[in-house]
Amino acid sequence: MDFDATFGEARGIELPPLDPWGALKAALEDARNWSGRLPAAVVAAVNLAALPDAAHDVVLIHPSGTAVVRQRVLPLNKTLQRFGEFELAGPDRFEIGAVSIGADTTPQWQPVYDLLPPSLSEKLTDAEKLSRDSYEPEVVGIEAGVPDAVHGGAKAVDVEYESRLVDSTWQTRSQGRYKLPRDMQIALTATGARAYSTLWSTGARKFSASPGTPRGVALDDETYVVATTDDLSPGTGFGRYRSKGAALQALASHLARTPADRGRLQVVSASELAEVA
Amino acid sequence: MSNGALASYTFLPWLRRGLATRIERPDAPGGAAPRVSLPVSVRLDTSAGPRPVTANLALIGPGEVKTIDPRVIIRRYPRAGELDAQTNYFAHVEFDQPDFPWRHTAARANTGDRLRPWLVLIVLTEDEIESREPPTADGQLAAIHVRSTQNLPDLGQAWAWAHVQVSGLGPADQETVLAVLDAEPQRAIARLLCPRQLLRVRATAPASSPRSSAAGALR
Repeated sequence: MDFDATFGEARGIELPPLDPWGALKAALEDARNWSGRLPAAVVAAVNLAALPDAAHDVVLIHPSGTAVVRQRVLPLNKTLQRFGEFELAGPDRFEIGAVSIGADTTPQWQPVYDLLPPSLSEKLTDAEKLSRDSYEPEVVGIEAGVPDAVHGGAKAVDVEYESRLVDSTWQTRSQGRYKLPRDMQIALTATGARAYSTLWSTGARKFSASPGTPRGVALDDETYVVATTDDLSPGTGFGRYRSKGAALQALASHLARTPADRGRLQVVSASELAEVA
Repeated sequence: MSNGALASYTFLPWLRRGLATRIERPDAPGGAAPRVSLPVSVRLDTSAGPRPVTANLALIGPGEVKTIDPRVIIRRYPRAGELDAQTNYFAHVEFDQPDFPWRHTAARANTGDRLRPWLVLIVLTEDEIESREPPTADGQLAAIHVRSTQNLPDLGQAWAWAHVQVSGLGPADQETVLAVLDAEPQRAIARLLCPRQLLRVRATAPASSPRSSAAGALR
């Protein structure tokens, strides 16, 4: 027996629009959302003392690494359709435009990705709620990197080696001086004290690849592309997207400009495209 | 095969990498600050105009360091307990991490291209040491009390007694140094010396042991 009935009082509760900038600004300024990341060849090699209670909000960053900020208020570099449960008031997109470190206005930086629920920033239909991933990689911050090394004025000197036989504590004999080829000198560093440093041959680092050694196998994140519905050929003018949501947004933007393509294009995993190719 | 080039050492008076390269306060005599703060700004572009935001990040300074991982030291001269060390060499330690001696210095090099390390090497004879504090259970370094500070290194000259040595580099620029640091790290070490002539007596040997030559931080 079919039936269709509605119970209770229909109430339309509308939350006021909200500008997300305040929450986003507070999150980016919060030192607790910042952390440091060390290059592979750098080991901290010190233990830190506990900070006094008065400095509980101070986050210490390692000076030889990069600074990383992650916030979970909203995705950056993405057009927002909503802000959580709220309609948007104010800008609907926060694009990372520039980064500066101290007086350096052009440091290297790269976006940092983390998993956020699509419902945080998109209006999803019931079908989309079921078909989309619960969490998708989104831009949540930056890694402000200074990968270069800076040093004082260099002084190079040629090296001469001398073999000396020590016959006793008061008598030695020189076997003459000679100059070593540079290649041989560099090869010898592979058996020097630094090469056998216990910093790299003990503990967890014993089982990790040495700095400078390329990894034999690396897993890549899943990416998405826009492809045609009939033969899965790549759509013209589209890129490769880290999340399905970003690909869908690019497709929606394209369809708004080119309605004739509606039904001809779809979003698929890049791996599916590779299999077809 | 050799390309004809001969062996060489390249010495750098100081080396820094990472965020420390952007410290703006120059090294100057006197009390150093415990740590340095580095502003990192992000400009977000929106339809309503740019929205800048700045966070002041504190870099780990010498005052925050409680212990040093002894594995970062790859060589000591003289070795602990060595009694017949050549006294015409300065006592020194070598570090695995070539930027280690300047890593936590809360300043940048001054106009004279001088940057003091955040730690110095001290050599003392037994009778110059008044008392010792053993290491504590929470990992605090062992400490010594000296009878006179006259035998301690001049911290104002500490910049002269630390350097980086890179093997087979030749004339260096920043790109080549960085390439060596990342791809062939075994070619670069840091060295910290104590400019005090060793004595040919028994008391000099323990003075160079790791315990009594514990580095004193520039705080």
